[in-house]
Amino acid sequence: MTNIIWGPMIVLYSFITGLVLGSYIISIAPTLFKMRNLEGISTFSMVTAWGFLLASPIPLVLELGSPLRAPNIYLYPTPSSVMALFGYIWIIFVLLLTTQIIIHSRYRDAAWFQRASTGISAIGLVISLIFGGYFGFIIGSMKAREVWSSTITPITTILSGITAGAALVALLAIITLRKDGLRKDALNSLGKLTLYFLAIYLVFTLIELSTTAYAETLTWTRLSILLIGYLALSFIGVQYILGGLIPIFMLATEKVRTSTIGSIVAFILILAGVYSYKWNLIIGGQQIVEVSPQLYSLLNFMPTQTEILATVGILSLSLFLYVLGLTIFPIPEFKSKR
Amino acid sequence: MSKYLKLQEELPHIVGRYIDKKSAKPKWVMVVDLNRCVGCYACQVSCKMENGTPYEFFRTWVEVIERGKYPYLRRVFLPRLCNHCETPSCVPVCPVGATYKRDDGIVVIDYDRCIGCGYCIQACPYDARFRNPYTGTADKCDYCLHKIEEGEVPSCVINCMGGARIFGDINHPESIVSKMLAEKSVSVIKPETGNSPSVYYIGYEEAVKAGAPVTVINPKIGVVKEI
Repeated sequence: MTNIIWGPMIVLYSFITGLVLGSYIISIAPTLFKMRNLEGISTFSMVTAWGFLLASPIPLVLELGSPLRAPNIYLYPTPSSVMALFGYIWIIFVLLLTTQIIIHSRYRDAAWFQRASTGISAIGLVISLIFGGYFGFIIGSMKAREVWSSTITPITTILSGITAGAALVALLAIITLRKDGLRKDALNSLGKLTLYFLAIYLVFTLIELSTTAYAETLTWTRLSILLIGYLALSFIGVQYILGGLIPIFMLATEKVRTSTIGSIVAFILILAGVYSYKWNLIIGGQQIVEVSPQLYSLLNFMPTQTEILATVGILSLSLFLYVLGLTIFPIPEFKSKR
Repeated sequence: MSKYLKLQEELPHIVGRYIDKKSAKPKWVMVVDLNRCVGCYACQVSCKMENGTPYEFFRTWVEVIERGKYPYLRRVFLPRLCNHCETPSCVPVCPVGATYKRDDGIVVIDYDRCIGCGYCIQACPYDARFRNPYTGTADKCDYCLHKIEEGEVPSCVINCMGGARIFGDINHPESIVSKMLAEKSVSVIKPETGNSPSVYYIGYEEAVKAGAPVTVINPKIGVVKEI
């Protein structure tokens, strides 16, 4: 039976790694890219990344056919496999991020702080890009699946991850830091940054699609599933209109960017749009099966109740770990009130 | 020895149950003659019986390709299986090194090590692998390795009533496969992948020749018609 091998858990995994990448990039933006407006939410973003980073292997392990053998990744290192890289990158990232949060929250006044922070951020930038982009590399380098095989996919994965991560940080900052005096200019900058990345990521998804279509690896039969088939609602409706055009128009105005309700709606829509992009890429890509040369079949797929519950559960766990992070690490942003 | 016992002893040799010509360093290949395949599905059924693959999952399967419109119609049976490629896509991607290529050319899976991540299934351009729901690991044809080690040919080969599947050692110059590959025009499925399959087809080009309305009956997917 030909069926979907990588299901909603892999979609969630890809989504969470994107969130980690995006929130981490926001956290190091003041140090590395001199975006001083975001300084106030730097450590807060790191904790957001930390919470989701800790939860990121769970969907991956749940998707395995033999989850109890997951430690085999460490027992039998295979450098030729990109997937084997995950275990190592994850551990390095957890250690680096934990160290960075401790330095940022406890040793901010130390003489060596600035130099240490810049150094760790530079290493962290590289690791986070590998962490957030390597799944896109796996998908893009899959020559057996023409719908996936694209060199632009890793870039789109990174851009969508940064967009979603920035939206998540903004959303959580509005909810968590509102009473602690979240500065309007920080929210405004975050909104602008998310807007730019959203626009770039959407353009790249269109380039990705048009290049594969132009190169005739994506025939009309396969394109039609996205445009008029049963993925159309998710592709055009959620990915481009609800999660793309509407938030772009909303965030383009400063009034929405600095308002609580307006920006919350825009950021939730962006998160839904990016999740939809991952769904269309991963599950949609597997629904199109090549039966014979130039002959394709479309597989039906509906997530099971367990998969939906697991998705909600893992996202809730990520949020719980984020709250735990806020509790155990002394966040400078909270100092005034707590 | 009674005639019956003698027949019982000789029968496996008569019907080609044993591998007769084997070199010191064998490399196993299969030749599938599509002109001989009658579409009896004996290979598909015998493989399931031999290897106990779960319901709806196949290590080998027969696709039915119909081209054209009545009365100008052609129907071809295309037996499919793992191609045991020279440079397989599935081997380097395995994150735990559970799938590997043996010296005799057979691509195998270490079922005790496989974590069931599905990466090899995605990477295979021939859709030859599946995730076994009972074992939780990747699964695929291994040319009935347990039989080869006993000197026997794979189950699908011995049960092929049309003699369409021929198995043997390509390194032995006198083996049937060596002679067939030397004499006949053969092709492989998806040569553009660069995987260099070890399963060769006679009459494949005719079977998949484009330009006519086509219907494919695939036991793994169902009936698929060209739109």
